[in-house]
Amino acid sequence: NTIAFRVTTNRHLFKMSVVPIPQASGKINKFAMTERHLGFLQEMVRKNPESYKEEFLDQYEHFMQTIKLLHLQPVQHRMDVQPLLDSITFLSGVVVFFKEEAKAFGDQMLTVLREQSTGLDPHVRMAFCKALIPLRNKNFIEPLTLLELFFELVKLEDKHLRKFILSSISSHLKVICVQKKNLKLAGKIQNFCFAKLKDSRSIVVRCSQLILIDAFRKKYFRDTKTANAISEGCFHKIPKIQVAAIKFFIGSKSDEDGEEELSDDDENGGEEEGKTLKEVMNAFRYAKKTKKRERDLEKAKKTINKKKKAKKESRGKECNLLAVQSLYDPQEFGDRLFKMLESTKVEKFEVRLFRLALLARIIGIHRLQTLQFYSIPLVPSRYVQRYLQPKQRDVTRILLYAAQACHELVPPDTIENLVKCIAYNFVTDRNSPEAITVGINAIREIFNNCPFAANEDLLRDLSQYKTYKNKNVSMAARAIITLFRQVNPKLLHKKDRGRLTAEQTEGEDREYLDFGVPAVREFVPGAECLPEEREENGEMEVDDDEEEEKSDDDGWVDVHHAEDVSDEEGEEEVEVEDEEDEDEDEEGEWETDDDAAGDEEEEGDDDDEDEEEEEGEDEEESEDEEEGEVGEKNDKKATQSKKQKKRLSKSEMKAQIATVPKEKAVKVSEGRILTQEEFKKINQFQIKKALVSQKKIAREIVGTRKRTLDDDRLDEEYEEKRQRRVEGDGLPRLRDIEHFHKKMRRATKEERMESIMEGREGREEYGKRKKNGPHVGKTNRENAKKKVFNMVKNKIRGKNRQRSFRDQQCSLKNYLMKQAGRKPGN
Amino acid sequence: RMGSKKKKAQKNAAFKKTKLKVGKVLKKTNTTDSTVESRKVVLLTQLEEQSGSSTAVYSYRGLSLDNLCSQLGHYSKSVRKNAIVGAKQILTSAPNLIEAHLRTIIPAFARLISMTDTDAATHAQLKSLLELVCTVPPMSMSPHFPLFVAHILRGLTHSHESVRSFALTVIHLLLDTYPSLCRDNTDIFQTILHFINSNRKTSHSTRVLLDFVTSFLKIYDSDSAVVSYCVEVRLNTEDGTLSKRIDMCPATKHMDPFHFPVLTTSAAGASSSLFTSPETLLSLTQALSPLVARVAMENDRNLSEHLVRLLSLMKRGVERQPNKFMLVDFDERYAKACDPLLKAAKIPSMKDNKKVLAAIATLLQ
Repeated sequence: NTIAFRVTTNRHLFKMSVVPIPQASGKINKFAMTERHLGFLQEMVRKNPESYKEEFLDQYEHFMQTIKLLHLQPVQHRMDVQPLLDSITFLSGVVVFFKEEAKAFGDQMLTVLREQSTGLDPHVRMAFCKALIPLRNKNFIEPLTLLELFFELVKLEDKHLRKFILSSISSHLKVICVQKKNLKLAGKIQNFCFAKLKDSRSIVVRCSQLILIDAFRKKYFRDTKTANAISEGCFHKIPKIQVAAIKFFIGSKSDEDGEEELSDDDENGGEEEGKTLKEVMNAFRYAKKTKKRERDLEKAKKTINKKKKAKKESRGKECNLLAVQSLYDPQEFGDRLFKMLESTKVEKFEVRLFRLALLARIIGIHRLQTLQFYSIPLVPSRYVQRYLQPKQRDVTRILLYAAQACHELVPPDTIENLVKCIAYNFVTDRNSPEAITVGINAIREIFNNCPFAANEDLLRDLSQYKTYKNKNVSMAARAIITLFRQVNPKLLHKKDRGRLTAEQTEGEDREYLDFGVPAVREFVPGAECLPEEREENGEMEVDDDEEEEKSDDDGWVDVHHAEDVSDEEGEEEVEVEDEEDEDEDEEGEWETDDDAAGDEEEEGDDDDEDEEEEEGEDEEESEDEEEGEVGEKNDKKATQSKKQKKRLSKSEMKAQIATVPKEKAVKVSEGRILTQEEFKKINQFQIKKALVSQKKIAREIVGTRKRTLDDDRLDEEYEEKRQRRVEGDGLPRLRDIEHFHKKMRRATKEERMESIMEGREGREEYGKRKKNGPHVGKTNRENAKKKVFNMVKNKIRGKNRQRSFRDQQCSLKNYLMKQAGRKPGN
Repeated sequence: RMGSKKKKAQKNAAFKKTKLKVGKVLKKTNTTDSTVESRKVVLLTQLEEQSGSSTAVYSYRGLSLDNLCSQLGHYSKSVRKNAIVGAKQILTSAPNLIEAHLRTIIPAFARLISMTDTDAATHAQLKSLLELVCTVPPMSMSPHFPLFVAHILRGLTHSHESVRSFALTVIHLLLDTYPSLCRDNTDIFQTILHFINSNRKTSHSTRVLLDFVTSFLKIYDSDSAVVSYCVEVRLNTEDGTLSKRIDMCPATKHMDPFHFPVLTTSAAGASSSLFTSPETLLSLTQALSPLVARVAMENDRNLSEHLVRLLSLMKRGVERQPNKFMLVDFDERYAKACDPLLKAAKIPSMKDNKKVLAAIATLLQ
């Protein structure tokens, strides 16, 4: 408090006080206080920088002298380090209030760091760097000069400093790009980092690479330029830099393995959902501490951290794909990678594997033509095949990469050779069931991508494994059969083919008719689910989300409404004959929009079902015939719809439903440009349609053969996979190849014990007493003695009363004996 | 039975076929165990020092100079103090050691100046030790001089008063012993000026301070500041003879071997002749005149002698100033700088002290 009333004083008077003269007591106190407590002084200067300038200048002067000393003798005695650190923290906190000094302060530190960087004590060096940051933020130092200095300092072998530098640059970028939006400076920094990528010192290259990768992940520099600059790192001479660049494009391992972190989290941390770490900690802090709560807290912390990690990972996931997609010249990039792979240079297998993974991914995503990659099994030195042996290390991954590299535009003969090689090496009876499973799974994934590489003989051989005694193998074989039922049933044995779905009969779901022959469509399949004409509102061109949603909702409501009406009519048997007929016709042939369609079908006419069964049985029936039928029906439909229009003239929506789907789809997709929301709607519609048709088929099969749980599972898996192909990068994952339906092996006793012991770690041991604590080593009786009497008095009273008559007699007797001076007896 | 089973398993362990798992990495069985076991070797006795043969000098406690130097950095006060005493004893007994070990001595000793927890007795010991070090001729001191000075100047700006006072005595010592070296050092001039100018307190009396300022001025005053080694020689171009032989030895004899005018900065050169630059003179006057005025106002008879000496030095500086013309407003600024002196002279109590008044009057002319 003595300091608070200091006023700016006449400088002249101060000059007089060189020699100690007794002064006002406040003044002396101030000196005594602030001389030793820099933190205190810092606080005061912050509050009132002008009046404390002198004190600041004294400290500043001292620091400048120290800097001069550091130039002459960079290594300081260990006892001198701490005061220096203190003075740096003080000055860095305060110097921003004094403009001129701030500039000189920064410059001095910069020069010392530049000239004496190696000799300085690591702590002092770090303190300098930390002190420079606020100066840069307040623009006393050019950001680029500091960046340059940091890149110089990175060369020193100082782990902590490097870490600090990287993190500080990252946070600086965040400020620039997110808060201030200073794009000019961000661009300069970006270019600087690009230049540093070509530096001769590998550590500099690595640092700038790490910065760029981080910036790309965090969206500071998310552009093609950055991705391509990082991609150059894949060809750097230092393996570590190569691996970092490759990993950036590949993404996390768990993504490749196809693990989903989020799902199990949701199960575990159900109650802690939505709470932040801070909230949980606060709740714990202010509640009574019990062991259980402590445990819960730990658990909650763990789940929250896990969630965070998963979030981070998922963020990485999307950016990997983006990075790969934004390569300027993927073909050339792929060729260069392949050349590196082919080189005979001795390197670590892991590095090679990474490179293989990246190449496969790029081929898969960009549909490259790197035909040597799949290569011929006859030439043993050739690429992927060389590794394709069950005993090969990480062979499942290699198989995965082979599958990822397969896409529709690879010539079938190339793939055929690859598949043959896998089949020879893995899918033979002399191999273990595991090897066979893995082999079949890999082949399935390959065929999934290029179905035209399959030939009948091989496929039939493979499908014979469906009766193999090992369940993993048989399920894998059945999965292949499921695949080809959808893709190309003609290659399967007759009894494996199953029934055709409606889509297959129409040939709707195929993307390619043959190798290199894409299926050309005149309309967007599934477009019939949209209303024929978009509801007109003037602002249609402007993307007003709310409006859009509203109109969407209307659309859905309309459809449901229409159906509900028809449902009701069907169920309540309000029998207008014609109408009912129409409804059933519609459902039977066109597998319409909703689940309700399926329900109605059960009630449907026998005739219809018969017809369908016939279709199923006569698989040789040509599609022409069917189309003819369809045509007829269409005509019929058209007339019927007219009738319907007349009848249900109340609402136009009902009329819309009634129009012929295909025509309507053509009309919709020709008539206008579809929006993103509409495409979403179409997707949902398609999925529903597929589900319905599958259910129907499943129901039909019930009659012939008992449908097992496995059948369902296989179908579900296939559907899942198809979904995945549409969504992300569409590449298979390791889980698909290492897919075992039954657990491979039971854990041995040692392994079980190991896991048990692991669980016991950190748990309190049973049976051992606590050694210290307030109540340790005392019986409850002893404890009760220390309690307030009111707390225990009832208990004592109760105990006294419980004494039996005999006990009372005994104690009285003993008492009397004692009184008489004799020994008490029993 | 169980035992026999176990035994059997153990027996066959070496021949057991390891089970392969597809896609998993096998543990290697043929690796060499490269862990090293070692035993400690305990030395019961150290190697005996062969007395007599070595020329090393030890303190009474049997510590060498290097040991003492490292002990000077000890965190304990008493150990440090003992080390100072030991070092002083060694160096007095073998003065030749000082010159040889300056490289280690200077940083170790000078560091102690800015230690905050040193008491007065230790300061005295340290001072006598540093005096001992300062017996070294300037020539051999010169390479270590900047470091030494840097340490002292750092102490001079220290926030602790005791450290500042001690640093002042040490720099006084240096000013007296190595005037030529001090003259060449720009930092000294700047920092001391700054020090006088600031409101830093020291525990020294006014007399000591005045002495210090006087000796500070003296080093720039000496006539030897400008020494010319010019030799006039006539060269006859026709017969190629010199009128006189040129001897370069005297030019280099008294010079600092590390001092090359080419290498030193221009700033160092400029300050070496303080009285030739009007700017420095002005700033000096500006710094000194309040101090002198204040002391004069105190009217202490004992100090008048010192004051007169100081004032005469200042006057000499002004008289010798050859470059006044370089600054247009030199006279004006000078008068302004002397303003406190003028004010002090007008105070009535000053009339008793005629000597000082006279000195001020001559200076103001």
